[in-house]
Amino acid sequence: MLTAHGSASELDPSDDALWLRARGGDAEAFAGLFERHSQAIYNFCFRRTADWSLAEDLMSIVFLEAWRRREKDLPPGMVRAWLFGIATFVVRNRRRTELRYRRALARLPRESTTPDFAGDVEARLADESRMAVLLEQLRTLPAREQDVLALCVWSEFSYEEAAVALAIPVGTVRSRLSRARSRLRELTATTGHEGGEQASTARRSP
Amino acid sequence: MTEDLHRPPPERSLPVDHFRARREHLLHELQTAGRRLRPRHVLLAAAAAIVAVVAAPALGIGHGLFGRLDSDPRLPGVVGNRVQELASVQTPAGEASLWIGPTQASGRCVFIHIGETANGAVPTPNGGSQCDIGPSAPQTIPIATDLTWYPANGKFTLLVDGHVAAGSRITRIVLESATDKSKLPLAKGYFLTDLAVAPQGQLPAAGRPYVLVGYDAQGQEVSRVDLGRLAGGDTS
Repeated sequence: MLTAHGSASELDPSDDALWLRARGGDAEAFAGLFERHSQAIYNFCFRRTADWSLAEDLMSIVFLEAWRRREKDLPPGMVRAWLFGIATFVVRNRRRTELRYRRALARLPRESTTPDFAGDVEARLADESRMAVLLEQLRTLPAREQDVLALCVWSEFSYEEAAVALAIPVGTVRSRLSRARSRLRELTATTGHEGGEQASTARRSP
Repeated sequence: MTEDLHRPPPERSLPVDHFRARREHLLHELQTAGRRLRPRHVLLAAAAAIVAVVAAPALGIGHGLFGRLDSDPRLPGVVGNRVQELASVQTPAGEASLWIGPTQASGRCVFIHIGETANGAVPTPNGGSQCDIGPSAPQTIPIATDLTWYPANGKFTLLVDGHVAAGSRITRIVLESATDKSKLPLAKGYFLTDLAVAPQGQLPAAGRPYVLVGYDAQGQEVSRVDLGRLAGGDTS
């Protein structure tokens, strides 16, 4: 079994194998996927909300929602992308999903909700401030372009992975990302800011 | 822009004890999810119970209640537990519903019940009934119609019910008056509607003439019934 912050080794079952078992109702196999992807989902949720505490709850909701949808038959190698797709849905429909899982979240042990970031509390507060500014800029884009940018740029998804996550064609991912970049360039031009374009290219599948 | 959208804050790890608690919580939720009754499930169960009560007659359930119809002299030979509702309409006298049930000798009884039938209340033929104790002869006219004047608030409400012959090609029945046209629901060829307040034995003064028109699937008129004539020659 993986450690909390470990990565999959060759001896570990693949995501696909864990997903197959989870689909059959194996909660431990699903917990294996949680161990493997929860940190990435946690950070993704933070980047969409600028709130570390909220991101933690949304991460839990993402996995509860994924379990609810476990009958989904996924293409090989796309479990991670699909989980990010659910995360995108959960963030976008935050009020609705929080309502759906409010009872489940209320059953969390009380002590675990107490912040214990003593070591990096200041850094996290700074993260939240900076992310809030970025999100304000991101929200100048249409929601569907925000989703593509968050996946392809912030989470370095390939076009194919983003297409699976958002359940749209690969060509649509390309065009939305292209439009998002154009809009951002226009905004940069009007405000005189030089953007870091070198980091904005989506990772392509081999 | 004052910030670079391409450089969000660095990724951070969930504190170990938070991670552990979230993992345990997730496992607990997954393992108990199947055993927990969600509010939505409770609502669905309640809805199913209501449907079961409403549909009981159609399903032949509730013999104890509907069996009482077996001994009603107005419905000779009817098989009480196979009686089912065809249509209902709100009238000044309350809810009116049209019912049909087979007789033990392969005939059928059709009757109207005035009053509530929800919560398992047994219908009675208090709005009139018509029975063929043995096998019914084929209906020779396209639209067979009955008029019933029922007391309501010191006056009368006029109920119109009827049946469309199986071979008539009629798929739609429309009640037309001088001021209105309304399509009537057809259930197994039967229909029921109400013309509201009317003097006994007459059509309502307003809106005459009242005509039932049967149309086929192509919208062609197949047959029409002048209710004024049916009421006693009053067609004006």
